[in-house]
Amino acid sequence: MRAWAGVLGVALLAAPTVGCGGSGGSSAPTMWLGAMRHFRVVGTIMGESIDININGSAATDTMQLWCEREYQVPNDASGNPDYAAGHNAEIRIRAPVTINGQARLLDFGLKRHNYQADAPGTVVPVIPRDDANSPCGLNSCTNDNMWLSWTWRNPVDDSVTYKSAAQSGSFTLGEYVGTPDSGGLLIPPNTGDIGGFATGQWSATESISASFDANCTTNQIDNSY
Amino acid sequence: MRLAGFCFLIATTAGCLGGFKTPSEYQSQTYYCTSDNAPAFDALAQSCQTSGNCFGAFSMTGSMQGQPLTVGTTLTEATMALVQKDPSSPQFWDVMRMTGNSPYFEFVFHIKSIGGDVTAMQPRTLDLRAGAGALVTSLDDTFIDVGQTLQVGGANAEQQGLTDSGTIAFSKMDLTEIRGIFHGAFGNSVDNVDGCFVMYPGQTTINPSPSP
Repeated sequence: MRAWAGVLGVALLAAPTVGCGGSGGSSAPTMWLGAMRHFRVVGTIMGESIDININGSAATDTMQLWCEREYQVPNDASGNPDYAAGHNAEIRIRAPVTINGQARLLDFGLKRHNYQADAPGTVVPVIPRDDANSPCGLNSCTNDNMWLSWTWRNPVDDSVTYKSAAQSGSFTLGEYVGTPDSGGLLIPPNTGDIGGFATGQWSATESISASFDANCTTNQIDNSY
Repeated sequence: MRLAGFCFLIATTAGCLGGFKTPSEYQSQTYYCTSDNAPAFDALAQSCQTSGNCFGAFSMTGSMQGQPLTVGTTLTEATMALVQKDPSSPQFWDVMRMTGNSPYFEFVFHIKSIGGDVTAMQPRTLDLRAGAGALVTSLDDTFIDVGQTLQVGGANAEQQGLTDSGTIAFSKMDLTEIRGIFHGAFGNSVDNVDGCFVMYPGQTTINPSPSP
């Protein structure tokens, strides 16, 4: 079966597309563009051409580009977090953009993998999202694979207007910097940068390539998977 | 291609063979969320406790992705996450996930930002509010974020339960059994779904703060 075009895919397939999120260029990134903060994405999602280029002062403004780290931390026998047994499990790159005149919040999710344990240059294959077979969970997150998710959110209320995970692709870690706190796991909010290069294929007509480097403003703990 | 339309495609393309039609597999499904079918739904759910091979039962009817559907099945997975700030603090309901198979796709019915003290165990009705988890009142209001992740053959898509399109009414909430009925529009305003569930959580985790 061909990949799912999504709810709005058919209606939007023929819609004109424009660049967004800054001065769009024409070339898709083919590698990580380096440690200077930036977010460059080129491709097609849900029939819309994506051409996002956030750089310069905009990329250093954490209201315009930021990342979020997600961790999983089991509790010990006393019910207290056992950070030594925890792990990073997700990175989300977020940026408000405008597509076809519509303000949206892009939530680019690198999911279900311990990126914090990887060395720069590590290539992580993207596998199809299958909730029954997560590559990372509370009790184990040593799998070599990951999920790659593209989510459009309403910037007003954070609600999801589109969300789909890639069927294939890869992520190459450029950098994961920051100093964990005394617990040895969580890198304090508003410190540390994550960068890398990602490719994703959602369907025969939907794919992106992306390079980013962003300051991580928040940490979240989600043990629910 | 929409997952739910797979059957339609088969039927359509098979038309060139001479009017051949394949009935939808949904016709073989039972919608259990009626008073008449309540005993059968209970029996379906309880079969999981007997066999140990499933985690409850789920049924829904309506449409998603523009395709009519009916599902009545057992849950292949059911997980729950509570929020507890520290060991001395009360626990609050936060996330529930129910996974099952329809004839044409796997679904993950997920509920976030439930709220309410776990020890209260009282029936509650909450209003669908997309993005409810982002509200500062996340666990202290009557809003709930509901969605369905549909998956098949490596493809997947999220069907967000739309704000003010319906409710979830929990008739039973305890750590070993959750029961409820729901109504809402998923993905777009014309795709309405009614359903019910009984889940026996196979995994319960604790988060220090509400799930993002």
